[in-house]
Amino acid sequence: MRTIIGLRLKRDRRGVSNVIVIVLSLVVIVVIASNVVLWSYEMNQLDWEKMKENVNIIDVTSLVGTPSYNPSGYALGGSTSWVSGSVSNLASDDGVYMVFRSYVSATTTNNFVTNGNVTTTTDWTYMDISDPSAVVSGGYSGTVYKSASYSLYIQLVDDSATTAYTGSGKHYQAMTTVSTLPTSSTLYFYYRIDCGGVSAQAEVANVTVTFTKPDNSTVTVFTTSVTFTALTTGSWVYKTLDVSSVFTATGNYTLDLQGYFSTTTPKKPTLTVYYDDVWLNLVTPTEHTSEVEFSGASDTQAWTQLVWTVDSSWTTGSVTVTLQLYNYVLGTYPTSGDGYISCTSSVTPNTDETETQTITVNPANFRNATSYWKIKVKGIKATGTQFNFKADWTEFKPTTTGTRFTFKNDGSLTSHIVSLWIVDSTNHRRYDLNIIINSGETYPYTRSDISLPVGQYTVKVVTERGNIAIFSGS
Amino acid sequence: MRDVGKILWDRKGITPVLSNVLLMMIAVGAMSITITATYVITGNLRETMGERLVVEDVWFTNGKIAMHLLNVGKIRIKIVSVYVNYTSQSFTPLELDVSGHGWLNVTQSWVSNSAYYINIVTTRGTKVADYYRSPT
Repeated sequence: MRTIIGLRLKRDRRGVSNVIVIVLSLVVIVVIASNVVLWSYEMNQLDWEKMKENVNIIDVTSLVGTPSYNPSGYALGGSTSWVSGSVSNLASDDGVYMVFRSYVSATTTNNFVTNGNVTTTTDWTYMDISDPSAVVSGGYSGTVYKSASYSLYIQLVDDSATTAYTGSGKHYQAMTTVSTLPTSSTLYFYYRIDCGGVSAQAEVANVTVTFTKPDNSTVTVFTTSVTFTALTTGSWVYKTLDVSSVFTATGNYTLDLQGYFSTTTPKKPTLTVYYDDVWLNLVTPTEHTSEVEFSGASDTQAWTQLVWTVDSSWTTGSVTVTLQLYNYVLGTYPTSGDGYISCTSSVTPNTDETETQTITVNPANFRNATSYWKIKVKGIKATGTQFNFKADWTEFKPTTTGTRFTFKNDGSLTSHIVSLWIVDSTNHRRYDLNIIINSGETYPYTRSDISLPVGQYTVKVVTERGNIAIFSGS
Repeated sequence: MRDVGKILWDRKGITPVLSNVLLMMIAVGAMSITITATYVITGNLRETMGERLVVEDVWFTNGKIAMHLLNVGKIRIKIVSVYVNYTSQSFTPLELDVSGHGWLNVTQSWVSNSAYYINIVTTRGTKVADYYRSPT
């Protein structure tokens, strides 16, 4: 059997060879055909996709304009207070104001008492308040004092063993005229009460300090009484009193340092009240400031220019005014150049003045990422008198540029836009784009660096597959 | 000594082995040449099929017609001829990579508000032709 098969194979060698050649030839043909067919299929698919693609430009809008924005909010600086009006009053230059009141931004402290240390026997006047028995007297003591060389004293001498006395007296001083209301006032003084003489049982001495106001009303700021049952040499007591509530009006004030006494019948005491080192410090304003920050929204479009304006007046003349527009890139209010205006208001109070500035370099630096801006208005005047800031009109007016295109993919395939053309009679300008638009999607696309030409123009977009969508406008 | 003598004696047995090896080498070489030739032959065909060209814009300017071309095919292309109204024109050479684009400037005087038939031909014979009206 093996011998027979071996002989047949030997005899059919040519047949095997033919089969191998045919198979190899078929393989080569299949490779060639498949290569061409597959490539053709791929390119046909590309062509089919191109045919099915359908991108349209449904709108082209120029964003060039000069929208005007006004404040929508405000913040007070320092201790500035709101008086009246609202931010809606800032929308137009119509004489309807938003009013703010200034605050004290600098003060000076002055002692309004003359010769309070009683170094000389001058400036104080003694007088009896009530002395029916003529036992009360007063003057400068050169022997008892807190600080040299004198003190003021008021004294009752009881030299009768059969009579009880009462009486009172005071030292007073008409102080320097208060021309500016103080922000705070403090009275400092030493007092001392002695009970001398023969003896004591229930002898009463009272220390009272009062102010007489410009309207002749009297305010008692301190009073204390001591009852002596034995002869006593008193000690100096230092008092510090907040008397701010006393100074409610300008004018002339009088300080009264008083002593009241009453003695018992048989003891014959000598009661003495001493005053020394009297100071009345009035803290008066020397400068007032008004500081308000207005803020508002704008837009996020591209800007080529920004004009900001503040129209306002002040209830006092010659206020040093600083207007600042916040620079969000620098992260601060500018102190010079763009975003900074400095001026002095009119000498005539309540005069409306308009300050404006045009910014052409990086105007977008003056808005934040959410398009908000803020303007600070600060007025300073070296005066003791409070004044008001009256804001009439605040405007933030950018000049916008750019173009918004609206594309729509009406095809069933996702499209990739690769270029945009703006064509007019004088220029054909191409812009590279890289926008993917899903099927059925409407895609708004804003370009700040593209301005539509004047007159008739054509906008074209080209997809990656080679389709072109066209929009004509004027 | 007896084995060496056997090999020397069986010379006829070596000849079929050598002939088979030679035959295989010839077959492999032939196949390689055939496949290479196949790729060369079909490669040109594939390249021609893979060319796609789009004219994005045509701009009639002073003394010339400028066409902005975009290669949307799968092969780098080279513009070899430009015909305006069936007349060959000189132009600045332009080659575009895949997804590449560029201006093809043809020096050609033109008359306003007239239609021009512009035919752009690549080295592989692909042509893009259309009518374009000059501006008024």
